[in-house]
Amino acid sequence: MIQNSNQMISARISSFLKDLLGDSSGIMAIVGFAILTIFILMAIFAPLIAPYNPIQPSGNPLTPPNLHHLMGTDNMGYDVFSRFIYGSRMALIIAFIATLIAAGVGIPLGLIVGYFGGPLDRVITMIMDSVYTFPGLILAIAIAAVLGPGIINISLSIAVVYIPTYYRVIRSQVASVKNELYVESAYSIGAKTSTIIFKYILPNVLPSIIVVLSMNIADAIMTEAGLSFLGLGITPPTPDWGYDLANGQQFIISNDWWMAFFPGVAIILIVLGFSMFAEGLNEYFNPNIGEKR
Amino acid sequence: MRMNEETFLKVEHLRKEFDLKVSWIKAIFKGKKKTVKAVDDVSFEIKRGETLGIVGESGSGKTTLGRTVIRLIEPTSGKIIMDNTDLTKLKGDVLRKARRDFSIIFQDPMASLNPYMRIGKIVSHPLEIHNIGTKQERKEKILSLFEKFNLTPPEEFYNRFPKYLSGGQRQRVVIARALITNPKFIVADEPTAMLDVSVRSQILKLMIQVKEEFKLTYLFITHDLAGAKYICDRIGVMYLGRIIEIAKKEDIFKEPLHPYTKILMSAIPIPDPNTKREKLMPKGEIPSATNIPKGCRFHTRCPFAKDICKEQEPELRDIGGRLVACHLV
Repeated sequence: MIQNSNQMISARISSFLKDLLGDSSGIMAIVGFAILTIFILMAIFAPLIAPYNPIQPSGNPLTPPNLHHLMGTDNMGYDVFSRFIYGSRMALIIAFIATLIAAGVGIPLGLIVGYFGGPLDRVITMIMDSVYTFPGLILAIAIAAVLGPGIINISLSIAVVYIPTYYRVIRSQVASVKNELYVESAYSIGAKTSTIIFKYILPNVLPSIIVVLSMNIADAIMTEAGLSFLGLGITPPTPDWGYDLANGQQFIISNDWWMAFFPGVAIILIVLGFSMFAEGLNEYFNPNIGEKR
Repeated sequence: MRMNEETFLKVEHLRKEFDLKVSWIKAIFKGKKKTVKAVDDVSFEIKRGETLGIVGESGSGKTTLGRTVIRLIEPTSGKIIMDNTDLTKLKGDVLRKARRDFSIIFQDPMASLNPYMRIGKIVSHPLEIHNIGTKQERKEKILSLFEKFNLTPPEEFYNRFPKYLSGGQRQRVVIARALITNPKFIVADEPTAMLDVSVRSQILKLMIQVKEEFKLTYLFITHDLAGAKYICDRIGVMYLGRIIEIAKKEDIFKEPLHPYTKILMSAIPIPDPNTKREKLMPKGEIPSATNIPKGCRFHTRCPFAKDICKEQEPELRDIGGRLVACHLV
C-alpha cells in the first residue's frame, strides 16, 4: 500500500517487529501506544516530574547514578534524569511540527497533482523524486546548515525530507481512486471539482496517510536527534537527547556510560513506540481487512 | 402508438476516439498516432418516454456511447441534442448545473457508492449540489423514496454506510440517487449485469415502475438480450463502434435483418430442450477498434460476406421502417 516506505527506518523496524511477533499486532499497537503515552505525559508534566532544573548544575559533575541523581550527572553537573525528561519535549515538539508541515504541504500537493495530472504532474513529481533520492539526514543537514538553529528552522529542514513521502503516497492513491466509479458518479451528479476532491477522494485516501503519519513522526524524531547530535539542532544547553548523546559519547572511554546511555535509550524507546503503534494502525486500516468489494 | 411522439434526444454523427498511449520512443520511430474508435459515427433518436436499448458484445463501444451521450466522456465530434439544447455546446458550470436533468446508473453497484459516505448523504448530495429544497425537505423526500424502493426501514438505511448493503440494495440506492433530482433522461449502463439473477428482475421491474412515475426516457445499455426484450421499446445493435441495426424490439426479435443481429438472437437460450434451431456462430473474435476492417466492419466474421462487403461500408438504410446497415438486405 505504501510505496517505497521501506526506506523509512521506522518501517523497517516495524516489519522486523511483525516478523518477531507474528499476527499479534493488536498487542503491538497497545504496547506502542503505552510507550507513547508515557513519553507524551512526560513531556507535558516535565516540570512536575523532573527533580532538578535541567539547565542548572545540580551536583558534582560526572556523578554516577545514585539515589539523588537517578541517572547520574553529566560533565557540567546537570542532572541526566531531568534532561531525559525535558528532552522528550524537544523531540516531540519538533517531530510534530515537522510532520505537520510535511503533511500540510505533501497531502494537498499530492491531491491536486494526482487529480489533475498532466504536465503539472510531470514537473512536480520530478522535483519530489529528486528530493526523495537524497539521503534524508544529509538533506536535513544541508537545509539546517542554511537555516540555522531554532525549533521552527529544524522542523522545517526535517519537514522538507518527508514532503515527498506524503506526496507520493497521496498522488498514487488519488490516481487510482479518481478512476473509481463513485468519483465518476459524483461528476455525473454535477459535483464541483473541489467537492469531488474533498468529499469523494480525500476520505478514501486518508487511511493510508494515518499510518505514514505515525511512522513519519518516529523518523522525524530520529532525524532531529541526528541533527542535534551533529550540532545542527537545538542550541545547548536546552535539553535535547541528540545533543546529550553526542556530549555523552566523549565520556564513554572514561567509563562514564550513563551520560550517553540514557538519551540513547530514550530515542530508541520513543521510535520503537511510534513504529509499533504505526504497525498496529496499519493492520487496522488495511483496506483488505475491512470490506471493499 | 404512443401519445407523445416528440423526439427527446437526438444524437448526430457522434464520434469518440481515444488516443492510444504510446511511449514517446515509439512515437518518434513509428510516427503515426494510434486511435481507438470506440464510437464511430453513431446517430439515433429517442422519443420522449421511450426506452432505447443498445446491445452488443464486449468492446462494441456501447458503454462509451452511453457515457458520451451525457458527457461523462467528451465526444470527439458530433451533436447531442436533448430537449432542444445541444449538450456538446455546454461548458463548465452550465453543464454542471444541467446535470440535474440527466443521470446514469452504473453497472457495478459495489463501486458506485462512496464507501465513506452514509447512504442518506449519498442520495441527498445531488439535491445539495443543485440547491433543491431545505434540509428537512430533502430528508423527507429521500425517506419516502426509500420506502418506495423497499429500502426499509428508511431511517435505518439513511444512516448506514454502503458496505452494509447487498448488491441489490446498493443498486436501488444508485437508482434513488439518479432519480432524486427528477431528471428526464437516464442512461442505464448494464444496471443488472453484476447482480444475482434473482435480484435482476426486481431491479428491472423497479426501473419500469419509476419510468412511468417520473416520466423518464431511458438509454438502456446491455448485453443481456432477454433483459432488453423486457424493458426496451426499440433496440439498436452495436458492432465495433457503430449501430448496424436499429428497430422496434418486436421486429428485431421476430425477424433480425443484419447477419450480426441474427447471430446475437440465435445465441439467446430457449428454455425448451426440444426446440431445434440453427446455431449461427461468428468467425473468430471481434476485431480491435484500433484497426477497423475496411468495407463493412463485420465482413471478417460474417458467414454471408460477399465481395462488395470488403470494399464498401454500408450505410444505415431504411427497410420497412427499420434501419439496417448491410449490403445483403
